[in-house]
Amino acid sequence: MIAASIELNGVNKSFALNGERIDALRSIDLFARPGEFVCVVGASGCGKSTLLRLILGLDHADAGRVSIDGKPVTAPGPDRGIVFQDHRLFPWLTVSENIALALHASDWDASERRRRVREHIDLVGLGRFGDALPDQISGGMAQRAAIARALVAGPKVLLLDEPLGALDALTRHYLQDELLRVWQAERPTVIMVTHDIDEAVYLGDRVIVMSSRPGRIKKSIDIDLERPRRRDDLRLAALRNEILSLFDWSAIAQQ
Amino acid sequence: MSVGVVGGPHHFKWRSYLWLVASTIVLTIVIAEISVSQVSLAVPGRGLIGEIAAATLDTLRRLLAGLFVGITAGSLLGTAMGAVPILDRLLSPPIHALRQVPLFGWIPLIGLWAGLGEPSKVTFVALAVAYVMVLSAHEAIRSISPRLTEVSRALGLDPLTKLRVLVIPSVTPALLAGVRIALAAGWSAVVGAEILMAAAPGLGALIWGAREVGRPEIVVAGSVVVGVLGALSNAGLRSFEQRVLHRYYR
Ligand SMILES: Nc1ncnc2c1ncn2[C@@H]1O[C@H](COP(=O)(O)OP(=O)(O)OP(=O)(O)O)[C@@H](O)[C@H]1O
Ligand SMILES: [Mg+2]
Repeated sequence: MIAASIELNGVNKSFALNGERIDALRSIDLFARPGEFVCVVGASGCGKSTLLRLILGLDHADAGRVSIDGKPVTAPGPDRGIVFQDHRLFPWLTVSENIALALHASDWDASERRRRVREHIDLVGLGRFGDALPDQISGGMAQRAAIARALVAGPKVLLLDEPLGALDALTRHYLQDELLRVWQAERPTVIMVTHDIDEAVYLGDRVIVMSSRPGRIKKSIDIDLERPRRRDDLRLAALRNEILSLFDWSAIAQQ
Repeated sequence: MSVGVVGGPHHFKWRSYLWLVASTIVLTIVIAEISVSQVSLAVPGRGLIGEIAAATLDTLRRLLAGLFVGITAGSLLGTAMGAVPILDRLLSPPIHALRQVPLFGWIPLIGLWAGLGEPSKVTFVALAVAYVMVLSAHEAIRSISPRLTEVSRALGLDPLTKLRVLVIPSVTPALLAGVRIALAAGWSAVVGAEILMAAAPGLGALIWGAREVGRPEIVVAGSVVVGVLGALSNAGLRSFEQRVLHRYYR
């Protein structure tokens, strides 16, 4: 798989809510190079999910350009996969069927599809649970199935919207490492939204801090640490504190 | 997905219905025997059982026609209202207002529009069925999860795949629950129509006619048949739900 670059130029997006205009995103410029792991942090409501929806093509910018490898985004496509905060598996389809759904429009024949589905079930460590229904597996396992679904079509871009937010700390740490392993195996360009700053500095090549109302990019911080990283690395703690200091606490308190 | 709307199809037992049917058959035969031995037959050359069977066929034919029209029309309208918000806002108030007219209050109106013959009886049944189905279909469409709808878009599912993995599994439980309620409504409507609208062959007319000429055994036998057929059709639908659709109830 060849990763793709993601580029946003002067992107604005606003919503009308009860007659009031909400600037979800204003003047967003962002470039992610192929294969980069970018984390996005920011207060609730600052437009992080909106940013992902624009890159995925579920929503359209009011102004500006969103492009993948220089080509403007118009609609969702198999070159981009997404994992939402909740797993969003179809409850009446098995884990394999859910994952295979992402291949419904692919050129691969049936046997190659089956092979890819199996391969990705193994990749996220769900080997024995392909035939289980989503309510027969744990939340962490379901989230892993959702990650497999996002990856199975071999997307060049992987969008993650707080994918581990609902999980307990142990499972979260475990899946963070799984995510790194998967990323290193498949090398997509990753944009991961998270509210966990430790997670952001541990995983990302770069952390983007957003401010709210209007949603803007406040700062982009490179995490120039060699991999594999250690969670107890003091440099991570320093970076976390630097990022925390960028948050506008008064604005958050007002919400 | 909630099981509440359908009242748990898993608990259904055929055995209890078997008992019901067996005991009813015995009861009917006994009543028939008594009536044949005591009273002259209403229709020469045709026994009580034959009479009831003929009436049952007429009623079933009418019921099926009404169900077909009512389920089709009601589902289409309810689906449209569930899918298009403006239709919902336009049509919901009048539909709920019309519902305030008791079902049998429609009979004089339908009589004025369409007379009291076969078409108006079927119309009446269809009306009773359609109202239930409008509500169920509306509810069914609204039970499609917006989150899964978004996933379908994100995965770029084509319309047929979307129908197969999203729409049909989402709407089927509520729709089938609606059909069962509609069936019950259809039964009371068809029998009521046969009693209240101009005489026509059918179970309702048979029962009512028997009452007027003082033949209680026909009244009892006819009523039992109505009850049993109603229970059986409900049982059939439940077992269908249970067998074919248990995967969707979660
Ligand atoms: N469909 C919509 N209609 C109206 N307003 C919307 C819509 N989607 C988002 N918004 C508004 O845009 C702003 C940004 O929303 P968004 O979901 O992107 O925030 P977020 O950063 O993902 O927040 P969170 O961390 O809580 O998930 C919010 O103020 C929200 O109310
Ligand atoms: Mg969000």
